[in-house]
Amino acid sequence: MVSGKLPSISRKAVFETPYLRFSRMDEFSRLGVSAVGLALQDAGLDEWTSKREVGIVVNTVYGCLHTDLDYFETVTPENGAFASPALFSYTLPNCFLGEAAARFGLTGPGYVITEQGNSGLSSIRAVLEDMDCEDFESALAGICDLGCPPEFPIDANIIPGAAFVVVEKKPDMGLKPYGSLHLSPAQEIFFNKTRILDFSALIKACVKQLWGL
Amino acid sequence: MAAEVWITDATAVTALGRNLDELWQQLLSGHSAIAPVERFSVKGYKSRFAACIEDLNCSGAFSAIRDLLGRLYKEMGPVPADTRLYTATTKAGIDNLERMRRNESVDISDILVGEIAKQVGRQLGLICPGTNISTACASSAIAVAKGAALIAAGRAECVLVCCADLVTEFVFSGFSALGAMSPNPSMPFDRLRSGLTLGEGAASVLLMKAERAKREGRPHLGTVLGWGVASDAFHVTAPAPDGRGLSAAVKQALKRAGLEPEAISAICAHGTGTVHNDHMELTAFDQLFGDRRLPVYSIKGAIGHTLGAAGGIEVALGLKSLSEGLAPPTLGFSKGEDNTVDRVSSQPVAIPGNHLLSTNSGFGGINAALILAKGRGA
Repeated sequence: MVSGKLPSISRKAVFETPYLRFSRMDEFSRLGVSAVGLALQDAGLDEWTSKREVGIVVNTVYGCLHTDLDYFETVTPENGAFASPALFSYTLPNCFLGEAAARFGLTGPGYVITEQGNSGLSSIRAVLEDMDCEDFESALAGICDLGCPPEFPIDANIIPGAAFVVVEKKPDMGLKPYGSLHLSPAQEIFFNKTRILDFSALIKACVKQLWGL
Repeated sequence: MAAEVWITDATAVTALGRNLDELWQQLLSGHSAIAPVERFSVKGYKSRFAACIEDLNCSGAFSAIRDLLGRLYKEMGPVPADTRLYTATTKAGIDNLERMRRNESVDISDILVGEIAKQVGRQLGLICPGTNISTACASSAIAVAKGAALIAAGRAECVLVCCADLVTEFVFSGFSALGAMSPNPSMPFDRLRSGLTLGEGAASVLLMKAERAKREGRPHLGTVLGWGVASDAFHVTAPAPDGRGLSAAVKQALKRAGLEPEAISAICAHGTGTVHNDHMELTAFDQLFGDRRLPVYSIKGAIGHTLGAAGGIEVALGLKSLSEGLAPPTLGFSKGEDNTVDRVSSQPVAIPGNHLLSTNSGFGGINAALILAKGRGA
């Protein structure tokens, strides 16, 4: 996949209803919450009346490193007297999972994983394993990264962006799944019986299903 | 049928001891590692206290987390090469970001959490690449839960959880800015509590399928009987006041363990010393255990809040607690609210049974609960 520039994300582009906390979030969280919101909209699960036991697992390489750098800029002057509590609140990569959980009423487990390799599939793998272990039956699995900060000397060649898929062990009859995921004993991931090598390939395969290509 | 999950090795390195035995003895003696911070200037902050490992190497190109992990390796027993590895850290070598910003020449890769998994896996000669789990202060408890789940489901035979976090100016300044720090050493569950005190440490917990552990003649330090993880879906930095997420996590753990609440003998609580966390926990324990008075303790008044490493350290220490039949004292606690009576104590208390509940909660509204059973020993 060719990397482009990540556009700035406006609340209105993703959320129809007011979302006061959105503007307070760091860029990493806005990106992640937006992708979670879009995935739930696509699945028809964005509206809710009672909280749901749905988990969220995200794979990231840099996490909230941009926010870390921004936050520490506020610490350096005056011996930390003006350190920003607002920025510090987002210096953990799982904070956006908490934002998404509150926004969409998701009470399942939420965690951030980082593993070697750039496939971005570790969140899918983790969700499938968790389902196999009967830890939950419904979850969002995704990737979220802003890319390498300009002044940071280690560029892992991560494409900036976020994407989530909704994975259900026993899909409700009202849902229209793109297909089925399977984790092999060798930890390979198959979508509709075709091996998937990275997250973008999974998204492409879903889009292909959608358009009947 | 789910496989039995044994813990066959557990270690901890904290400011209160170079290993688990030292930590246990120091705790029982009522000692605390919380002291004025000398590592960086605390002039502009709301506290001057933390539990720092005195001689941790904080200079040179590498993050101090490498020295911390190096100390942990020395305490660990042999780890099979086919072990799956979960590391757990919130900020990894964030001290190197501070130093990078001060134009010092440092190894920047230590800042990335994924690097920790790589370093540990390489050091221990593991076949599979490791995965880091970052979920605020519940990171290592969730890693233990995931490891236990994999073994119970037959997806792995051995899982190592290795966790570590440092006291850095980055984190210290942040908690100070949030107003979450106690100006004095923290007082978990005390009615005068006013915030947390940071600490640093590392722990390792080796989980193994019981059959394999028996075959290899490994010691049985304890069993992970149950686990649960749940989100509050309430707020990013504040816990749900009614303890709904923690209650849900504990209920899941009990269900998986096949136990009723009456079977729990003691609770190793998160017990940070903040007004809101401790209130939330006691509220959840009231809901779960009613009027029953069982020992509830926090070790954070002695070793500080070790963030992502807290759950792992507490599991390692919990095994010691079960084998000795003693709940360690909650340092800093003097007098609490009514629902701490006959629960929290500043003295060691006998544990009347074999099942320990260990809980952790963190930013993002995440909660984790583990139920440990006493082992048969070596």
